Amino acid sequence: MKNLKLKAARAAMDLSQQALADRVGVSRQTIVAIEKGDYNPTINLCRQICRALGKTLDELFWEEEYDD
Amino acid sequence: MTDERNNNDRRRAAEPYDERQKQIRTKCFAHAFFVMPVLLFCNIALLDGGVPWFDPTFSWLASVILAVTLAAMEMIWREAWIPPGGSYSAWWSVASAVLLIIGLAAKVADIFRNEVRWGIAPVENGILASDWLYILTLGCMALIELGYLLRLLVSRLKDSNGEEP
Amino acid sequence: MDGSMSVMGTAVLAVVLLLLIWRVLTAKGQAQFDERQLLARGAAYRAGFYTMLIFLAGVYLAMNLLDWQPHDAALPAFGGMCLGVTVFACVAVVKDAYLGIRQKPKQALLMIGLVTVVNLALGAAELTHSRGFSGGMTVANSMNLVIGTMGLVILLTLAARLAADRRCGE
Repeated sequence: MKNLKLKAARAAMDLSQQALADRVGVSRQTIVAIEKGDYNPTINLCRQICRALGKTLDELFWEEEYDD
Repeated sequence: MTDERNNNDRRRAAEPYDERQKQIRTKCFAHAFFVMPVLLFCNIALLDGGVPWFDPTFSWLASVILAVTLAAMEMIWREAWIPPGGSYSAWWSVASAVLLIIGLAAKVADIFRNEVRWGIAPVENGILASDWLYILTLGCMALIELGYLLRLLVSRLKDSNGEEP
Repeated sequence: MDGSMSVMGTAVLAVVLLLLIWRVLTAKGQAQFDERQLLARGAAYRAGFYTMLIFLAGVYLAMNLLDWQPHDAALPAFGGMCLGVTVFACVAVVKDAYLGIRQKPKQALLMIGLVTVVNLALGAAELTHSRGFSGGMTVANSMNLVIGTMGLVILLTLAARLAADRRCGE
């Protein structure tokens, strides 16, 4: 499933995929894969991304279908 | 609750290995990927250096068998290997190990009965006989089964001591 | 076996190979890969490993069933290694796990291109000199050609992947 929240948060900070990748310390293709939903990051990477974008885990990575 | 269990079962069937196991398997395959060419290269160097004590094809197969055995043993020890059929039955492993060891013993006995030179199993025209390939294969398979049983035993002992496996 | 590799040459090559493996397996001098790339490289290692395995098994069967003997007994093993490495590299390239995080694509292309050109040139010279391996193909006389071909396949795959990445990128 695509991670549109991540894409929106990145766009809100006017960061390119490469810029976010550099901040987090991963390759650009990994950010692409996460946004497309092709890769599930580990909890450590999730936290690093949240820290880079100034968001919480819930705001970026919580799946909508779990909401009651 | 039932739906969640069914979902989990379906997910496990599609992806039998979890994150931790996948990371470990990555490393194990990397080790095997490097071990095989090293063994092959050693064989090439030995043969090229004029050490004709084994047949070239036997040496390739020996390299392959040893590399596969190494990868399997490492995966088993680090609990990142699910046996074929997905069953962790200890009884099946015990039976397999026993059969393999009996086969191995029978093969070794057969070789020693046929011909013995200085206490070493037969050498045909200066190179090891092809029967050694069966001994290597059976030996490695028995080693894998025994390694698996040992891992099960260690896990059970840790469980009974109240430690995390 | 034509004994083409001297003992000294074998020893030097063995040391170089061991150093290379040590560099790759330890932290020193290792390109940095992120977690996704490490998993993808694992899949690439698996593909390369199985390729070597199947190739050697296939050659063994061909030798036994078709009664075929290679001119140089070491050639199939060498070919298997090269094929396995090529498959590993191509799978890693396709999964964007060949170049590390800080590795520059242009530098990598240049390096691989240089190695490919040199080896292909040497291989072509050997091919001409031996009149198309008329005396039989051995590891010694085909090494440069094989390595050059490997380099070419990896180079083309990497170039295509980088071009596709540039087209899809932001």
